Formats: sequence, structure tokens, C-alpha cells
Amino acid sequence: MADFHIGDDAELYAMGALDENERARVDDHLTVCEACLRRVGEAEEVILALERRHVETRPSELLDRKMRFARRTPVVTMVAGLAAAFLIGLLPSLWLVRQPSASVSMRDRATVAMVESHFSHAQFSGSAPPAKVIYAKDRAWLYVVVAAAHPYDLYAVDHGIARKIATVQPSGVTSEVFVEHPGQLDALQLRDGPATVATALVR
Amino acid sequence: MATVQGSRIIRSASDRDSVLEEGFERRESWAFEAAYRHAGARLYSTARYILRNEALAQECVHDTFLRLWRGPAKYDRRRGALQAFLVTCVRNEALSRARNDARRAEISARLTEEVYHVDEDPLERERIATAMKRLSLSQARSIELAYFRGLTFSEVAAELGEPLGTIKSRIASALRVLRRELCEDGISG
Repeated sequence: MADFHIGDDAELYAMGALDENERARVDDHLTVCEACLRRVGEAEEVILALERRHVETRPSELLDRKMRFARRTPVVTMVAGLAAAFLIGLLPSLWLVRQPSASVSMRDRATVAMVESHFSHAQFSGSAPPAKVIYAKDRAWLYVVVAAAHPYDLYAVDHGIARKIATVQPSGVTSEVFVEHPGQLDALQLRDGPATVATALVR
Repeated sequence: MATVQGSRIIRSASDRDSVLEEGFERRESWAFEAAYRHAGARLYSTARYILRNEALAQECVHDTFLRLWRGPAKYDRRRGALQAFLVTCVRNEALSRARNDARRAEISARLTEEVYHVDEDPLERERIATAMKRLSLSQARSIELAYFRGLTFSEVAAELGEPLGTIKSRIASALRVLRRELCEDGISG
């Protein structure tokens, strides 16, 4: 049991009047104080009652857009495979890239980029099939792989402003795109038409 | 309460809610998917009213669920109805986005002008209007600005020319009055 209570912050929390830091403080408190948890819950019911004055609107895409909540996804396996391919196929790929007349695939360019720089990776979360971005720590390039053959649009988000930087190219049962100099960004979005179907935070 | 119809067992609505809430509390993936489908339209309506944009509203609902899934557990059945909790989460997310958005001034102006049409349920509107009559004039004005027009408390304080602390305690007490009034009228609908 907590030795203090959040008082009026319970109603302010439900109302949406607290900033992120204040909400985080309330969230922490609610994990240890049942009295405040119940008080917040009561305030939330008032807000729900107020919300019910609006007739529910069911947008065409929303409920067709299935969200999948999975703790582990097959893309992990896919990226592990890619990493193995990177190690095993390193020399042939390098050779291909160094030959001006050779047809250089996107995957070859990504492999070479990984060899030549320090990189990190992030998982996309959302309703899209499993997807991952591998990116240079200096943001010189990024490589997106999706475990489905579909031409998603790739958007870079910088301080809340999104701009399209590429379209993911279907190839076999997967899709991928390699982008050099994607510019400043703190997140990536995969979009299917106007809908954002997955987001990855790039730290 | 589960009832038997022929050879099938059908769960009552409250029973279904209870199972869903338990699953959501345990962070089961099926419960998150079911909650998204079950409450999606209500949550979308909440976000759309604040953000005034259909695509942004969908994104807001979507991202709120992702945040709940990826973040630490926040829902506890002792808190109350899952749908009320989800509405709060979406409302908080939508308001944060509106406040942080570069188009905040534009959104605020549109909120004030009320040019965006939102269908209202006449029965619920009447019920809330009746409850609102129980508020003092200053409470009702503060609720109108903070809730119905989406202003931050600082903006409400500036609009009314009163200290922030006064506004906060006034709105908190107004919500408690509304709860009492709506409870007497059956808050859970």
C-alpha cells in the first residue's frame, strides 16, 4: 500500500490533462495503490459515458486491418538467415559489387554495406507481416526486409513529419529495399496506401 | 453467466467482457486482438473527435494498442471496465499528439469553431446534458473547455483568467459530480 495518494490527478489523468511525465508518475503509483487505481477507474467510466454521446463510427479500414500481437516473429529467423548469408556469401557479394558490368542486386548492396560499416537493427510493429530494418549507425544507409511480397511504401519520420523515401520491392516471398542516405529520421513507417501498417523506432 | 442453447454454450455479454478483461490483464495476444476489434470503432470515434482527421485517428488507435502491447502491463481488472481504460489511453494519446502537432493551432481553431461534424446519439446527449445541469456555472464552463473543446488545463486557466490549481481542482470535482449523476442514471449503460 502506498503512503500517499494521487488525489485530483486521478480525474485529471482520465481527462487527458496530464503530460507524459505526470502520467508516467501516476501509472507507477497505480501499480502499488489499489485505492487510487479504483479512483482512476471510476473517473475513466465518466469519460467513457461522455464519449458515448458520439455515435460510433466504423471506418472501412480499421476493423479490416488486423493487428497481430506476437512476442516473437519469424522475421527474427529471416534476419538470422540474412546474417548467415552475409557471412557465407561475403566474398562473392563483394566481388559482384566491385565489377562495374555485373548486375548488383539490392541484397548484394546491403551485404556490402553491412561489411563496410557498423550497423544496428529494429523490428517493425503493426499489422503488416513481420519486417525489420537494418541500418548504419551513422545513418548512411538502411535496408528493410519484409516477410511478404508486397510493395509497401517506406516513410521516414523525423520529429513527427513523415516523408516517403522508397517503395519496398517484392522479390519471391519477401520484399526488400536498400536506401542510401535516407536523411534524418527517428522512425520508419510501412504504409499500404494511406494506412500506416507498421512502425519501427530507429534509435 | 453462461447459458445453454441447444448443443451450444453461448456466453452472455458480461461474461464475454469478463473473459476478455482477464485475458487482457494477462497480456494474452488473443485478448489484445479481440479488444482491438471489439472496441475499435468506439476508440476510433474518440480519436477522430480530437484529431479531426480519419487517417491520424486510425494511426492513433493502432499505435496506442502497440504501446500497450510493448510497454509494461497497465490494465488491472480492479481498475474497472476495459473499454473505459482503453478510451482513456486513446484519449491521452490523441491529446498528446494534438498538443505536440505543429498544426495544433489549426486543430484548436477547428475545435473552437466546431465545424467538424460528429454524429451524436440523442439519448446519450440528453443524459449528459441533464447531468451537466448539476454542475455550477464555473464547473460547466471548465469542463466544456477542457473536455469538449480539448484545451489543456493551462489553456483553460488562461482562457478563464484563473490559477491553474483552481482549474484542476474544479474539473476534478466536476467529474466527481458527473459520476454521481450518471451513476444514479446507470453509468455503465
